[in-house]
Amino acid sequence: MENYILSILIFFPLIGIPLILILPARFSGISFWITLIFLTLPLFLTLYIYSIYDPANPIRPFSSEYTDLMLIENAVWIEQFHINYTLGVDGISLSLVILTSVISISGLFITRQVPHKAGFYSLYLLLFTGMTGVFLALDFFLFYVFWELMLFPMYFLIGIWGGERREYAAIKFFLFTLVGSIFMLLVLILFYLFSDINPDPEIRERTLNIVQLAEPGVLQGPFADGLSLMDAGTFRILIWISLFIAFAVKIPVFPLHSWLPVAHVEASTPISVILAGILLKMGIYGILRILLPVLPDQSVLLAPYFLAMAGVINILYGSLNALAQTDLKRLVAFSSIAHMGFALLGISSLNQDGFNGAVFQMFTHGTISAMLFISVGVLYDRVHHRDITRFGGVIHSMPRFSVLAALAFFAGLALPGLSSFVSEALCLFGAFAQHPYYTIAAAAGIILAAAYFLNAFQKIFFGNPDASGIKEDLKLNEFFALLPLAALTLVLGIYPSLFLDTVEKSVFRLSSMFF
Amino acid sequence: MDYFNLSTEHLAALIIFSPAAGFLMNGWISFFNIRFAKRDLFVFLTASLFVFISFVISSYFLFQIFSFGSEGKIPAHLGSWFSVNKIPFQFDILIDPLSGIMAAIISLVSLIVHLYSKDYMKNEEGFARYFAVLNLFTAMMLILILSDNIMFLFLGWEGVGLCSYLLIGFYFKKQDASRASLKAFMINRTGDFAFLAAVFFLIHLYSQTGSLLFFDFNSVNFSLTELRHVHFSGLPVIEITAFLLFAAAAAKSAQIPFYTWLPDAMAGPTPVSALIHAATMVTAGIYLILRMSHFFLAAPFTMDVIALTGAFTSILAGIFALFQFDIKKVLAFSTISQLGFIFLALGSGAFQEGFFHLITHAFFKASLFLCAGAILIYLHHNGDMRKMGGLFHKDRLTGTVFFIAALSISGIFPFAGFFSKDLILIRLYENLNSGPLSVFLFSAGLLIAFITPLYIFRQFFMIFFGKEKGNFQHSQNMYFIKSMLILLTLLSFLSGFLNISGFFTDFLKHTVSSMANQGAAGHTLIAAAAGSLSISAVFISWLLHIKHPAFKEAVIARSGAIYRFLTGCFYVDEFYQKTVILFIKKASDYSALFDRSIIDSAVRLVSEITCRISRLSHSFEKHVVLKTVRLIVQTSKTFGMISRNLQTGYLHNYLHYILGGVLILGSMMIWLDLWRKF
Repeated sequence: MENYILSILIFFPLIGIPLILILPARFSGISFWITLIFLTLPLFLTLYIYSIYDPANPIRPFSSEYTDLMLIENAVWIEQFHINYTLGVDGISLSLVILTSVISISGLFITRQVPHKAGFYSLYLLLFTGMTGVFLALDFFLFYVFWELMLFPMYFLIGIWGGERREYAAIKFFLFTLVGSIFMLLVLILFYLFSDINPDPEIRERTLNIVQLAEPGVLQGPFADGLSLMDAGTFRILIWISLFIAFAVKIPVFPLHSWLPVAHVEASTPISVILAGILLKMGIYGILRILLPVLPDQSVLLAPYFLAMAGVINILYGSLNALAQTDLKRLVAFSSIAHMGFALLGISSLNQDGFNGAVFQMFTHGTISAMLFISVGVLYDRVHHRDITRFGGVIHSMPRFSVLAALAFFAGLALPGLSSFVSEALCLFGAFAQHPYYTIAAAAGIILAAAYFLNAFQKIFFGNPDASGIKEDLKLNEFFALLPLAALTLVLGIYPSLFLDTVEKSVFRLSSMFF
Repeated sequence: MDYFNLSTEHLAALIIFSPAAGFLMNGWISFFNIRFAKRDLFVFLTASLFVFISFVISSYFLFQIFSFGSEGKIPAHLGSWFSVNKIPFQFDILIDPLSGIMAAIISLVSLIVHLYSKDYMKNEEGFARYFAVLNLFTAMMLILILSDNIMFLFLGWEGVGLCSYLLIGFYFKKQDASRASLKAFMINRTGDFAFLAAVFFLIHLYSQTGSLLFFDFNSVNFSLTELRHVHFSGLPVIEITAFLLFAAAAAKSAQIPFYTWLPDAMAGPTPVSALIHAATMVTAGIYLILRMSHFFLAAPFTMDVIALTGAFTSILAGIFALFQFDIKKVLAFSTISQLGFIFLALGSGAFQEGFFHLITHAFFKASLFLCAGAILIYLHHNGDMRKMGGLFHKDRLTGTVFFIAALSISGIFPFAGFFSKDLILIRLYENLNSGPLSVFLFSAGLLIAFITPLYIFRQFFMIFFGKEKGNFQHSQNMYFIKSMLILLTLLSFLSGFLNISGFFTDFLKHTVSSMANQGAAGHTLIAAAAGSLSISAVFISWLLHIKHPAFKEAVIARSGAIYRFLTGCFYVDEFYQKTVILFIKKASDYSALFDRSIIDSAVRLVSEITCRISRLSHSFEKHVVLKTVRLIVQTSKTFGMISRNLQTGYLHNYLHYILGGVLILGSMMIWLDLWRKF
């Protein structure tokens, strides 16, 4: 059991799908509970892994560098192409798997009103498998498969259960991600062609194992095969950029972001929550997992432009756009772009603080953006619009909701004492050591963040109590959706070691590649 | 000894945790709207009790520190937070003379305001919410004061900003209150940006100093002047950092160019104005500079900027205060002016003196605000002073308290303000021989000493004397308000004697640095000059408002535009509206436009091109490929026709074909043969 714990974690929810689908239509109310059960067990599994995860006591599966990997599963999958089914967990992926479980359950609590429950919940479970798979795969091909697998349910979840322009949004989301996937596939093939783990020059042994690819000398230039289209440096830079584009679509990095506001606005609340809470993290995760370790020299070369500058642009551009929005959901969507900019900036530092910050930022943004989208959903549920200017005095009719929403908004603007402050501060402090000017420009983003969040907060919650026409405070399921996220935001704000100690070793391993 | 340390840490932690617990409890009651008998009384008693505990413990620690002498300090570790570049930022507190005095005073003023609020906030809708946030504010302010590192301080720094936001917007139904709270938070946030940027540089410097992020300077030996050689983009890092810290302090303490949030913040409940926007939170900026005084002394340029900013702010705000009609706005501008005066002192190196003035100011300004609160209760919360008059006979207690506080702020012997203001003026005088700037600063100090009585006695006369006006209504059961007013009067009278024979400054000499005393003579001269300035200002005020009000009216009537300009506070707010705010608005509008038009068009263009290509390939398929196929078919058909015609079935025809073929082949072979030969 211990040996297959990751596989169980990934594939267990799939068992729920046939159960939901064979359920007679009149019992469709139960499908929520089935989904909840099939997502709760993975949550317990992840918490169990968290409790046993002990980077001080490592096993060394593939490489002496990766002393932080645990629970490795390795099986041959497609032998002639050296493709293996390899899973493993380190601090970074563990934190994201926990995030996935928490956010999925939180999102589930606000799905009570969706129509066609059976289809929705089966796709929801499939989505969970895809997401955890991406975070746990250690084989590039497997990673790619999970990456695409997650795309498929997401397309339908937006396209069927979305708003008015849901089909447009779904296709836009799908095509953008597909463009990224094509780049990833290209890089995957190139990695395969030019890898050689056998030190003997006569024998060629290819691999797609991400850990092995990161070892020095494994990934060779085109020279090894007598190809001389370009020199090895240029070739690697092109690979780096291609792979970066593949991940950048997901983050999303300006100017590849235009799918995000549309997809968020059109998607239903739980799907927005998953989108912002988890999917955006995959891009950053991919950079940390594959791009930086496999191509470290190119990363040092290109980080100032593709990571630092892109991060600053994301922060300032996202913030300015958020400030101009009147649709609350679009505002939160643009704030996501800005917040992912902080993570990019953190990565650009290539040092421990920056990586710590970036990984923590993924987690905190996951919880906080989920809270924000749930808040938007709670409001939309009552008044069926999201126009900030048409709200007012919500604090009067929904005092409890207002407190939780205020927590989300203030966490969004990174108030000290809340988790996002620590993560953003770490990103900025780390980045300042490398890119001081970019970092100061990025820090100005905290003013803009306060501007757009508080401007919206004031218009929605303060003022004339009759403006919104809301009668009802938080429902129980909404309260349950917000509560764990609020608790995480508060606890990690004053005790971030709970998180940082877990990722410490993995982050140290990453940063020691560069300095 | 271990046991002793443990209990010390627990006690020290309790200073912060006690009001924090109060926040949690009353916040809980407010959040879940728990109703029970005498709920308001319960909330009030617990909230006050929690602050009282803080006050008792911090006074206990202050006395303990005092018994240790000026070098006494008590550190305590509450928990760990996070570390940057292996520098651990922990929830550590440091009680030394500076923070000890500050903590005791803040918990005391907070306690007074809590007790006062019992009557003031009676029957308000959000009674529990009010006390919860007030408790949270006290906890955050104490964190700010007691923290031993700059990051923990920042937690308190933004925490008090949050509480200020929540309390200014307490009457959230009112549009102006919610707008004012937003404005306050945004301007403070701008300062926080500067703060964060300063921390960047301090972390950067840490590799050389091993300190500066931590306030326990005495334990580290390094030369700050050597740091002047560290440069960032051509400027000494130490100046940049000091300047950024000052900018943060200026935003918090409402100095030029950030001061505009404070007058608007008066939209909050009056006790809040007394506590947060007069006595405690707005002094946080000054406290930061005091904490880092050693560091600021190594940045002379920034020191000059601080002094100049303080001088200009103080004079300008004093002038604005002269032309306000809202009872609280006068006091708000007065606060800005007094804080500017303290900044002037700090910038001139008079750190201890500035701190002394901060303390006396806390008492007399709180006292003035709480008087204003009492008056507002009588007059149904209408703060327009033009509708007031002759109140002295209606409520002699408030009148007397206000009068004493006004004498104190005016710096008239023997009230507290006299001692602290005099100390600062003496320091300014001592600095006189160091260039033209010092002359300006000294004259600014004297000017402020003149303006202050002018506006405060204008207010006093307008409210309490003259014709009886206003819809006055006595309130019953204001025992808490009255007793607190008396207590504050005593404090604002007695606090001046703290520094008898240099007791106070001596106590601080190791914590707050001080420029070398140049020991100039003429202290009594300064006291006499400042005193006579103040008294003449009071006299002028009396002439204008009581004796010859007609003359004042005539002057006002003649100076229309200038007068409007003055009452409009130079239209600084409108200027910001038209520049900074408009700029940000435009920038965000344009970036949204860019996103809609350029980015979306690019995406649409790509999809359009894809569609075109597919259409093109469709037409290529239709016109080229199909036609080629058809052509091939046609050609082969034609050839088929031809070859079919050749097959006649007659033997002689076939013999002809054979013969022709033999001839052609034969001639080709001959030709090839010839070719090879030659």
